[in-house]
Amino acid sequence: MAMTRDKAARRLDAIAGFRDEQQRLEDLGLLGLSKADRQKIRAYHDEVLADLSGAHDLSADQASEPVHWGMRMAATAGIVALVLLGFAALDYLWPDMGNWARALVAFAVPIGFVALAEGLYAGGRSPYFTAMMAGLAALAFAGGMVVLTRQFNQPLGLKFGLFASGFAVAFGHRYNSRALAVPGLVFAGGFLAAIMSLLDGRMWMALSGRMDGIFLAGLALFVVGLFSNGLFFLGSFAAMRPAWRLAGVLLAGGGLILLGFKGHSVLGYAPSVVAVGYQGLAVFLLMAAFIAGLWKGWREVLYGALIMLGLFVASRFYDWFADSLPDVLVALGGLFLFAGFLWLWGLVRRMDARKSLGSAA
Amino acid sequence: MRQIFSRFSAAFWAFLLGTLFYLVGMGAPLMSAMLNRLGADQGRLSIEECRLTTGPNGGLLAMLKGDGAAIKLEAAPYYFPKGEPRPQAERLVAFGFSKNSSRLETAYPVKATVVVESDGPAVAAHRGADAAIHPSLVVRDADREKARLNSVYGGQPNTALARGWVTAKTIEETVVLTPNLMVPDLRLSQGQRRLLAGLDPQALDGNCRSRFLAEIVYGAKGDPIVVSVRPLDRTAISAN
Repeated sequence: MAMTRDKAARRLDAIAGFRDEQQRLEDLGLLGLSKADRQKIRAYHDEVLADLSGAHDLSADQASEPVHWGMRMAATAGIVALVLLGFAALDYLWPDMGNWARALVAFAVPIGFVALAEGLYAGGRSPYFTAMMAGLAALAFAGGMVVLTRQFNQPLGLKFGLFASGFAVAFGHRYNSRALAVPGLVFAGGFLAAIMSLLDGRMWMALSGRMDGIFLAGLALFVVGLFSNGLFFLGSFAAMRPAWRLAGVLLAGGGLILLGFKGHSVLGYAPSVVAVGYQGLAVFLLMAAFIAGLWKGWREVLYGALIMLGLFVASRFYDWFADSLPDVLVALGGLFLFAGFLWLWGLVRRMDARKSLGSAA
Repeated sequence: MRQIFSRFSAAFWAFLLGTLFYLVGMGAPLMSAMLNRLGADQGRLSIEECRLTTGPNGGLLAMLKGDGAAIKLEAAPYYFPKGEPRPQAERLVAFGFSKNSSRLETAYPVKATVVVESDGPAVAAHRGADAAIHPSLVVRDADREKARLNSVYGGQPNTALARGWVTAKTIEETVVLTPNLMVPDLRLSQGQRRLLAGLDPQALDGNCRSRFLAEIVYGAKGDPIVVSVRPLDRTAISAN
């Protein structure tokens, strides 16, 4: 069966990814291919690249020579500047625009960014810029909803955040972009939990005393990331499971860190008891996620749990010592913790690389 | 069911889901605006001058930030543990501020629906059947028995002209309640701004009389959009 243009573009990306990773492992001293083996693999890949790029009118440049980060940053800066220019022009014209002209802008701008993302995706262009256009579409969608709801006096409340982040999640899955899906999932889970927590009519300010829902939403995201291979049609998105797991770790971890402070839970026990209980739960669950990440080779869970553990330790240090110690000692303690975290990060990175190499062998 | 899903690619379903989010997210406010056909063709809202403050008419950025409100309804914090009770305490109770908090938690406002009626300036808290969930803040005539305001402003008593939500923002120890009534679209002239800026500051100290300052004219029926604001002639009202 002939390969589609879409699949051909993905193969090009995969080869580019392989070459990046090979270089990284060689730099770390974890991979020592002989010169002959390296040449054989490169020749084979060059042949595949030539075939695919010729048959599907795709550029093999990105695979043979990965885009330099400087070029990518320059292009990103150019796009951001263009977007800001367009925003400034709209801001200037806004007071003179009528209601329906404003509504038209709110409708059209997200569609424009989606069309650009679709064009890049269909052409097999850079996944980075495809995801960037989709991200801008999500931002424009959120802004458009704010404009419409204010303009027509129909505020959506927190539902606005759920719609916008759901939009980002959908397009993160569409373009296989974890960079878009993860923040989308974190915000979608957070907004859903907030809506549930405030069903009695309290305003969003009351949410700081009801963080339990945020933690539970994070846990739910993580569970979907564990089992999505067999869950209904989510199996189609098996490649996005890491995004669900990472979003779960970040959201549940963030919720637990806040719940470790007094007065952030709805549980009707003494606030100090509840806070200590959540601190214990945070240590247990984050350590379990860390070990599972290392054991199962889930790198996103491993590093996500490590970051959340670091933030948890920092939050405890601040809560316990910020009031009792002089400011200089607090600052020094913070620096000491940060240095320790960097050391731990390096250690985990080496352990992870060794384990990956062992699994591959 | 599984066969239906597997008939198309995962990316297709994700695109479809994204499109649905777009249609619902963008269409919901428009549909709501069409369905919420409120009040008379030309309604008027008056607000006590001691509760009215003005802000700049901004551009797109101001609208996104919510700073473009040209008119705000401000209220002092009526209940905090260290605060003194104020005459308007019942209004804050309607927003969910509790005087007897058993859990000693900070009092937070409840999400409130604002209904603007056609016949008067006073702001009164109402507790309806569903007040526990959405207590409404009804703007209505404080001086109903005299009924003189109806002749000045027109419209039928208790006719809703607009509906919106109150948002609350805590600035230090002050809770600022802002009714979202298409306020970003208000256009104030320089003369109107000068008048508003020159308000008697004594009025903010709790001694608020029912004087009228702004007249907000709504758009056509089915389109409850505030299109202009105009200061009223206070001498004419006093004479009346």
